[in-house]
Amino acid sequence: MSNEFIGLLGFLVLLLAILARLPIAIALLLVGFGGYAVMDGWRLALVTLGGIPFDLAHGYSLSVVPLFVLMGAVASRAGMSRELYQASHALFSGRGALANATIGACALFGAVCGSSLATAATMARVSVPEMRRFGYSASLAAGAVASGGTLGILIPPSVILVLYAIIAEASVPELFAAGLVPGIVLAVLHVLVVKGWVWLQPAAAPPLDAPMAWRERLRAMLGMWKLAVLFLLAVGGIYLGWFSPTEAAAVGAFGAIVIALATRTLDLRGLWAALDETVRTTAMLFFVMVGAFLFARFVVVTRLPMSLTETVMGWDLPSIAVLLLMVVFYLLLGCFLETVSMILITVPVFLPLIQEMGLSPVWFGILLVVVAEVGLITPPVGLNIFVIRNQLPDIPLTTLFRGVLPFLLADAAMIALLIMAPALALWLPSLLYG
Amino acid sequence: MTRALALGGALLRAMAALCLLAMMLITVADIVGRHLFSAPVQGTVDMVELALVYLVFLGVPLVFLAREHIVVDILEAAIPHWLVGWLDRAALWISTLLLITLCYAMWTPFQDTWAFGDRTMDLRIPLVWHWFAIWFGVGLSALILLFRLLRPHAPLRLPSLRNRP
Repeated sequence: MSNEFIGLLGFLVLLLAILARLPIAIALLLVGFGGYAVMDGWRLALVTLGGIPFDLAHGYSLSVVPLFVLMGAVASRAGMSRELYQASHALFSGRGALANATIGACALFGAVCGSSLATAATMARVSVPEMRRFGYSASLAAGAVASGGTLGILIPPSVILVLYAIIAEASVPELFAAGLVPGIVLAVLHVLVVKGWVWLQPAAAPPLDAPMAWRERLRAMLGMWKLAVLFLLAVGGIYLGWFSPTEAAAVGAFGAIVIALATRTLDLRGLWAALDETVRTTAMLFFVMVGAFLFARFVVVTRLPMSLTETVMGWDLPSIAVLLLMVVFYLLLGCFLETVSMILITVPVFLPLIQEMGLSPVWFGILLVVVAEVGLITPPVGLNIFVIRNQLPDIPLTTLFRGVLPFLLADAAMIALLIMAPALALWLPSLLYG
Repeated sequence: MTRALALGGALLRAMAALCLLAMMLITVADIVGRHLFSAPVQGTVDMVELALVYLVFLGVPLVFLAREHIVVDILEAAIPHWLVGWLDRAALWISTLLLITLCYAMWTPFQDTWAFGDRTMDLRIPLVWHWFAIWFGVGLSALILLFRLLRPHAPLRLPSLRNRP
């Protein structure tokens, strides 16, 4: 049995274990440990297993994760999403204005919140009742918020991009810079989908009775100041080189708490709940990461990544064909796995190939996140969909999935744009960091 | 039993939340001190790393208690009900045994760190402090799962926060 075969077998067992309802962190630890034992014997496997959790003790760069999660949790609980929705509402007019406002608000909320699920859940509660009050079809309302929610993981700060940076040993500031332009472009593409939808099916979005007056619009837009301050402090601070990512996240979380307490939109009970939620989210993510570290070491020992690279380079395919194969692979994988595990498990295998093809790991991170977020809104796993269903139990699941379908066009266009014009992602980081 | 669980859970949550707050405040204090008073907080990195380890490993048993670890359940609707129960039972066994193995595997490096008296670079914090948290978190999680195996019907569960942002 060749080493590479053991590596492939490891992936297969891992997938089966996950499908058999083993928690993902446990499945990664189990297969990593077992695989290591098969390769190097039990004694060495035990030594490696015992050392893995201690890696976190030197995890200064990892501390950015809980701090950004905290910033998002505080912003959600302090009702900043409602103000954003109103501000975004002031920006759009015409048919489908409320759906476009939803997308705009999701994108803006993604600028303080690093998580797609949190963005979708928060916005669903704010925007869907409003859209339905004005007679919007349930599928348009739900589709806009489900797919708009995915903008959160592309627009910095993004927890997924931080995790990618850690596993790919890429720079967080560069990834945060690379995500911004594609995030905005993707938001515009989503708005175009809404425009197309209401043009084809005007009944989906009846016109509003009275458009907002200018004074009202201005007031609504000024309501965005909290978000603007936080974004400028945290993400702007990273771009300008004032702060390291961890410092920016600490300043952002601190700023969010101060603003929320000062404007009395958050009491101490709410703060406690945000802290509690952040602790659990972090522990859950990092436990998966401990498993992923062990699994990645096992995979590297099997030399699977190198063999894959050699084999694929041997085919002499144009890189666009290789990339398309990868995109298809990720879309399939996205049917079984959620985003974090998908990225942590596959990046150690694919990254050497990407580098061998002369492509930028930063660009690949952005492409990966766009592809992975499609998995968030497609059956059967579609976590965003389930989060929204939790919030709005009266909308049937089929309506939700039907509502999401048209937005997949925007995602497909984004993937094509990224592959054809990598500068979309790489322009801003090269401008900022040369 | 229920009261002890509520009390223990609340204590863990409070301690982990304090670590998170400390991590944020130390970093902010360091930035303010450095930029405004040219007096950075000594050993920020050491303190943040220590707080992170405690925050994560006090949090891990909480996640086990609330059953919030990510599980993929796309097959749930497609397979018979008894099989789901059977798979969950198997998953519980595997998780328990694996966590016990992890505790065992961490014993030697834990002892070595203790014996050699390893410390962090800046503040000379003994690294066994980090190990305490890791061992405690994984050990407590193993105990929780073991208890669940032996007493499947005991109300050993914290309310889940998931999907309620």
